[in-house]
Amino acid sequence: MTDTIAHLDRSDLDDLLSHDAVNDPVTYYDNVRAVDPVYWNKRWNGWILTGYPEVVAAYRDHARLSSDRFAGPFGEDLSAASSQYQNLFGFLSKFFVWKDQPYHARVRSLVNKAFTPRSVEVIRPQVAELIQSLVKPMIGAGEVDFIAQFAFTLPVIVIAEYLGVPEDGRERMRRWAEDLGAVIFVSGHDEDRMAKGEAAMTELVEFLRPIVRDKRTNPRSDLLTGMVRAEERGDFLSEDEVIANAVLMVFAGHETTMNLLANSMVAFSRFPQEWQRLREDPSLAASATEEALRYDGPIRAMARWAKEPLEIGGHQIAQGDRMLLVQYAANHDPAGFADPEKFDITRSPNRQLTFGQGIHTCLGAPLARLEAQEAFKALTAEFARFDITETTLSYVPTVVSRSLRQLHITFHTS
Amino acid sequence: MSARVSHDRCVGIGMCALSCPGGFEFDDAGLSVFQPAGTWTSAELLEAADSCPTSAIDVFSNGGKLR
Repeated sequence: MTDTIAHLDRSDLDDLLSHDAVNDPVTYYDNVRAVDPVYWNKRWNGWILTGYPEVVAAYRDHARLSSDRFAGPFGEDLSAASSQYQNLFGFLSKFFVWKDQPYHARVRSLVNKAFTPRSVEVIRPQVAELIQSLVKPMIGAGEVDFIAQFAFTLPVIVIAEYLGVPEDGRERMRRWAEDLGAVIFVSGHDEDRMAKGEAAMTELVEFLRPIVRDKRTNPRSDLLTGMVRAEERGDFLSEDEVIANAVLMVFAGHETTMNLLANSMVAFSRFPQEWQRLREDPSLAASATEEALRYDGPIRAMARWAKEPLEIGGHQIAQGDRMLLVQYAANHDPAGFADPEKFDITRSPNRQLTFGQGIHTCLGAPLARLEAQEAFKALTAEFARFDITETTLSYVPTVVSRSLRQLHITFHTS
Repeated sequence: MSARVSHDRCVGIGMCALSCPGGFEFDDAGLSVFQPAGTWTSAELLEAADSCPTSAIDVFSNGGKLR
């Protein structure tokens, strides 16, 4: 290990979007962690946390580590862009994931009940049925575009129904989400990216506003109706806040689950015996999902900044310092997991960090889990094996997400 | 009535402390701990269990598990 590090150019470690960082994150983050689990990245101008205990501690320290992307050092970065792209930043700034307490908890508590394991369990039969309708056309179909036909379609339909948004807008929604994702997942400024993000946000808000207004006169048992009722009760949510958080859920509800499903297929292709195990014992779907989340989860990292000085991993973090909490790296830290490069669908314990920890832990986690569990059950039941037909796997260069550009697969029933 | 928070499942989201402010406090690791001597009602305790995003809270009464 020491020899390997000695040959590494330290400046390579500071490039979060280098070819290796994007395409071989396990090795890249292992190298960063070997230098220091709390590493100062000169180029990013902040701390990169890659150790399991350090990432856990940081995620749980919401009192000192802010998620507010529109204040502190991140706010300074955005101030010029936010005056130019007013819809984009006006609505992004209302995302409750990027708010601190007490505002965050108040908004989360409004939608929390809809996303508990108990609540999402109710839709399991419908999700299983939807999955069947997506699996059947892949039988004997030869090579399929797995993301377009399955990994994208499943979560976008589920979240649209859950929110109460017509799913006929889903192709447009995919483009909007891609354009917003380019802004949300990539740091730095690129005029084209910002202009596309502004256009996407404007269109998405125009799409959602009449739907939100309709919930007032035609209430249903969906999430948007719940948020509108909270607004009408005077629970501090303005119409724009309802829309902003609907945008957040449309986006968060499918982008990440899509990547989880696609990345899982890559994991199973490397460990085909695990596919067989699941095929023989579908009761392993829940633990297989946890392992898929750990082994190649859809989220690499989330950013924070220090509201006050603190010590972490033996380093003094100054007020105003940026931090990147890399759960993808923590999920591969031997300090957190025995034999981390083994994809073991029965791994126990498995305290994977893909959903984060603490107050900002992914709201949609129970829904994502349910979708993945049912997808794995249905796919392994139907198909004895599969081949990934990409010559090389290519990933979108982002700091935050682990996102394949495309994934073509041929499924075999025997 | 009594409750127990599983630290295998708790990840410190804190919804329990909103539903039942007198019943839960957070330890040094940021995980929730039930406060038997705190000020809480049975309804609040059940609401905390039902609101938990990781189903980490078990509620008991007279030895039987309610949640």
